[in-house]
Amino acid sequence: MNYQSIRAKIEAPLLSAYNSEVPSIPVYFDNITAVPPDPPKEYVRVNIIFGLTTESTLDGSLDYARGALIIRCFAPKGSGPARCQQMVALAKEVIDTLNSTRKTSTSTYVRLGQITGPSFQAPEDFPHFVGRIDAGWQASAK
Amino acid sequence: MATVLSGISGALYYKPAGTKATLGELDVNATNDTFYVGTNMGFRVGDPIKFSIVNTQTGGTGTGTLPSSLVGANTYYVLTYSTSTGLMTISSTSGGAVEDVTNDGTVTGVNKFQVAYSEFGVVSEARDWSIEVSRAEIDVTAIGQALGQYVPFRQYISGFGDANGSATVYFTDEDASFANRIIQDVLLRKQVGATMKLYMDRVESAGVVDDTKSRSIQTEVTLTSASFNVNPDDAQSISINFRPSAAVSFDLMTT
Repeated sequence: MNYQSIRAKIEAPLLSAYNSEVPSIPVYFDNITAVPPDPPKEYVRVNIIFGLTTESTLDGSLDYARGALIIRCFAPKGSGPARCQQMVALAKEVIDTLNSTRKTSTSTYVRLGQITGPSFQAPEDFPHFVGRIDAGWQASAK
Repeated sequence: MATVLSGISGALYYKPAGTKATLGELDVNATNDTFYVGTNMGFRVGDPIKFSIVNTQTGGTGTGTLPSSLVGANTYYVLTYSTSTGLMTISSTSGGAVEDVTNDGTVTGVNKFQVAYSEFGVVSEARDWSIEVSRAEIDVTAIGQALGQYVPFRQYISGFGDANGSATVYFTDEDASFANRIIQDVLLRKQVGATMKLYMDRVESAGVVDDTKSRSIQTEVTLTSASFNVNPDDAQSISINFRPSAAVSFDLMTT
């Protein structure tokens, strides 16, 4: 099971999409400490959770990776939900593109399932308005 | 370690119903550049088609010469088709100029020209598909067996094979959706040419489906029913049932 290739398949296009924005939007992945900028600026957090990655058989086990993707977009408070929604929409476009990418024999193949959200929060003790989407994923990795 | 294939590797491909016809020399009109492919077929403007010569007795490749300047390897596109007259004109490009047919070609006896939908098209709105392949067993148990400690078993010989399939497709606002065409094909009287290619593992090379690396089941089908499901709570979907109209072929290995 190539966990790294699965993670890369999901993370790389998200990073590319947000970096292509003008100005580019920082993306923080798992195990990268996100320090909320002061004054508040836009940024994105991406978490990939590995759920079940094998299937047991009577004789051993087989690879079958499933998990969840959580994307949270942070936009400065006090300017309405529009910008945060634009950032979420960009993630949704990336997921659409990923899902329309066909399988090739030489690479890890990842598809995401139904997208839940976006859901929005404006925590009182936090300078950002937060939009979140999440989706399950399945992958076949050699 | 082997990897379990999941549904994300699957796909549904389809050739529309009523898109395969045979015709003779007299059905080719080099003066008007028309082909008589039969009335009430399912051809639609823009359908990609190919011409070939078939032996209608064996179903294999026939002998003869295609009307000039048709080339068997080339894909042509339906420019016009009338269900009432059965006449078709074609173009070498989609929506292009009428293909100039300069002679009727040559086929004799059991040999006929065949025009058929050229390539499978992906049904991108398909949610799932299933197929059940079965075989009949004929009971040939003979009475009068010598009785022992345990009961005698029945005996069977093979009967005929059969299959039933189904697919669920979403109903979308896309007019040219292939799924929408499948639904309409259910009630098409002449369903010749309708073919399903059910991929368990669709693999592409250089941007096109590579059947040498993919795994699939293919069969010509008769579409038997379509069940619409429209309610306020769910996405609109249609359950389609089909059964093979010819033998089912399996391509389950990547060699």
